[in-house]
Amino acid sequence: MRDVFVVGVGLHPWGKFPDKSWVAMGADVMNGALTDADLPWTDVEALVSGAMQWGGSTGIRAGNTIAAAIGETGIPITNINNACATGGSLMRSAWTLVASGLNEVVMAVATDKSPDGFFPSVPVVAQEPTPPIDLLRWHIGLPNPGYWALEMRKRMELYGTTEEHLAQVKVKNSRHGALNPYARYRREFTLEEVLGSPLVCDPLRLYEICATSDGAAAVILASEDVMRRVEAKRVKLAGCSLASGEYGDPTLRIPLLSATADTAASAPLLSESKLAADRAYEQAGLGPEDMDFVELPDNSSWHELQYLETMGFCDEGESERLLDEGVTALGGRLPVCPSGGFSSFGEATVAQGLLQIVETTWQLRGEAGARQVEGAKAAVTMAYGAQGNNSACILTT
Amino acid sequence: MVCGLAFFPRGFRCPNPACFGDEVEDVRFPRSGILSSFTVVRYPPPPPFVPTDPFEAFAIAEVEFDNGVQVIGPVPVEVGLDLTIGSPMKTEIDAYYKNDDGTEVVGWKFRPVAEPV
Repeated sequence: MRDVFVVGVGLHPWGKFPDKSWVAMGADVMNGALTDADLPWTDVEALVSGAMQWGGSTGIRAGNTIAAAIGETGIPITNINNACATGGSLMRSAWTLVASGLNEVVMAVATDKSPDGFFPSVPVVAQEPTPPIDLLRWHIGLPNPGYWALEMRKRMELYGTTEEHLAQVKVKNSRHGALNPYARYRREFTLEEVLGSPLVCDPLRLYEICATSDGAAAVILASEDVMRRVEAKRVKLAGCSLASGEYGDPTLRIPLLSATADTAASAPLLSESKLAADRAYEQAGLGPEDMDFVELPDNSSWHELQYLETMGFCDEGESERLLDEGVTALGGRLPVCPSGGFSSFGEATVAQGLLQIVETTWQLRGEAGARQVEGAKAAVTMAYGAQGNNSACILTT
Repeated sequence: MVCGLAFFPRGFRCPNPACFGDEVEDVRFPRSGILSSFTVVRYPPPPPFVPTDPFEAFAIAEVEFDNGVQVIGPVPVEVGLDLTIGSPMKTEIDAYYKNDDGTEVVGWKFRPVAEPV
């Protein structure tokens, strides 16, 4: 396997864009990444694309849909849906193509338009002998944030996490997002404001859960030869993993109805995420202690607290202390989500993993403006693996 | 059952990779378990959920059984929203709501009880 580099990135502002098609958003970020890399579209040898379930059949084959709009070149196009791990899965697919020597230049793109409010059930039209699990969970009425709330309540019981901790995660990330022109929410939220926002699924409040948004991002990976030829600033994809869940994991996974009992668990909480992080560190030959910042999945305040531990940045039950001590804020020892995170951008399922890669690339190039993590040389990104799949990417200068 | 693992809902193979068994049999869950977590859903979920009109917040419990499984289920509305982790919870079979054609959608619910049953 040879080294692989990020040579171009493109990002669309995140928000709600009812008057612009997701195809146009995808074309914009692809064009942005090509301009950034100073490469023509005809140099791209393969395209991997997020398969957007909310867009129907042309959304599921989004890569082909966008390619047809900007000019078909006959390249291999693969459409992937791995829930929120889609971005990381796209990175891994593109990485394997370049690392193996099969291709010199590969692009990953994802564009997503989310429904408002709770993500609804995706209709099942296949004829089945029993109702699908996703249908049963909606008969019970547990939306995605309800799953996170169940884990959050357990964490509060175990470690004494307070309502203020949950709110402080949002306050901290909103400060970062206020500095990011691409974020949907570009202002600081106060503690009082967050604690005063309505409960959605106790104990999680409205401002402690990421909004469902529209967004798009593109990343171009290339060999070292191409990186030197286009004179890109050196950003190496040093680790890129994918993992699935382990049997015996006590996480109640969306959209399941049951999990291994906490007392019977034989694998860690979020086993797929821990495996993905461990594998990426091993691949990069680096550990959590070598990371200058992290873009993790702050889908809710529970996620940020739990993922710091799952990704190896502290022991179980210590994330609240890192938050209290300012370690995870910009200016601290380990800034968490300097982009503002999903808390400031909102969730655009298949695109959000690539958003993290774009931000990390800008940070490592020193192009992150007011939210720059000074001297950043290595960082890890991870989205949230619904239904037991996840990916981690480590980028270095 | 080859390895003796209990799981829910019913499946057609054992999900323990070390077992890899293709024989399963129906077993009864204990009537009660312990409340391991809960949440209150304060906005109406999307269809096929049928909300009350006007919408009322409702609790969903996660109950841990001594067979090594935890299961989610709604809490009867008359119980209210104030639950205590660690409480014994009894399983009931009851109507969730009626479909448009009047047929009842029936499922499991979890109700707090003073003593395990």
